[in-house]
Amino acid sequence: MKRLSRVLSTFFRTVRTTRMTAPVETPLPCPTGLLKMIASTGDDEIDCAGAFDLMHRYADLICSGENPAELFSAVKRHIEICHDCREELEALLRAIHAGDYLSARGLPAAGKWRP
Amino acid sequence: MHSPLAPVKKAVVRERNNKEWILNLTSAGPKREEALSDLSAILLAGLRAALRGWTRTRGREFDSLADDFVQETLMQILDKIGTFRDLSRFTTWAHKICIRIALTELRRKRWQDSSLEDLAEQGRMMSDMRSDSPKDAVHSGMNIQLLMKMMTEELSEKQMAALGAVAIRGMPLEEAARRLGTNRNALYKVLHDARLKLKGRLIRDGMTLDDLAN
Repeated sequence: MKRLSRVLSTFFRTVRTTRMTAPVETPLPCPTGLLKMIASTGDDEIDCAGAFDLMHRYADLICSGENPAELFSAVKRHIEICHDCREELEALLRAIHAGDYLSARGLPAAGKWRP
Repeated sequence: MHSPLAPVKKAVVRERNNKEWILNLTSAGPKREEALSDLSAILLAGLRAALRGWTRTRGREFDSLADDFVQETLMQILDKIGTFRDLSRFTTWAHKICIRIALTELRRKRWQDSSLEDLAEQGRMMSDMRSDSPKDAVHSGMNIQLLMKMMTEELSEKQMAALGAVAIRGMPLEEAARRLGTNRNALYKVLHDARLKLKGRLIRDGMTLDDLAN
């Protein structure tokens, strides 16, 4: 009981001091989502740096219509669990498509690079 | 006055293969300038699409923001161009770096104004969620209190704080890591250990993986 009280106290103190609140537009994650995340948990997972190292190759395979999970199953699993990396992959795919589309149509050159 | 990235001429970005990108960017003189200018345009076009839903992607404010992201990206690319392996398109590698820079900053900005009132409101929402058993919790899809109880019984204080921030509150990893005095990878490891512990506990309590996933 003491431990429960101490842990809860620490948890809510951390919440207060770190202002861990979602912005208005961010929905509250439901326990079902957390349970799914727990269900997907494997003994060995790559971390965000490992996923980042391979993400451009993973994205290129998606864009070329191949199945990246065959080569990069660890990245696939990480992306299923890690919301931040999933957001980055989705943004990357949008960026690739936009860059390719505009390049194909003739993209106006940008201004000078600022060293 | 033009933003440094505003189109100043209607020249078309020249297509390059990976070898040409590396050669041009590591050379000196006009070819390097041209390659940097073309890469800026490609990254900017990518950012406009990538950041839809994150921020307004038109207007001077976006131009200025995107300019900062692209300039930072170009500096990082030039700094680590020797680490690029010819296993993907060069521009995909460049977009990846740009997206990471942009989203890290936008997440930080999005969370910097989060208020204590939001927290109180979420606390009230959480306290309204009730049920008696793990299976009920899953079937109702609403019981966070039971999970919180398991968390307190199974997890260390550090794991509780990490899971509370990221999985319960939905805080981005880098922002949670910054506030908890760690880094994104170390935080991911803490979260992984916490999820493993909770998975073991839920299975010991009679849940199956299907129960958890559905």
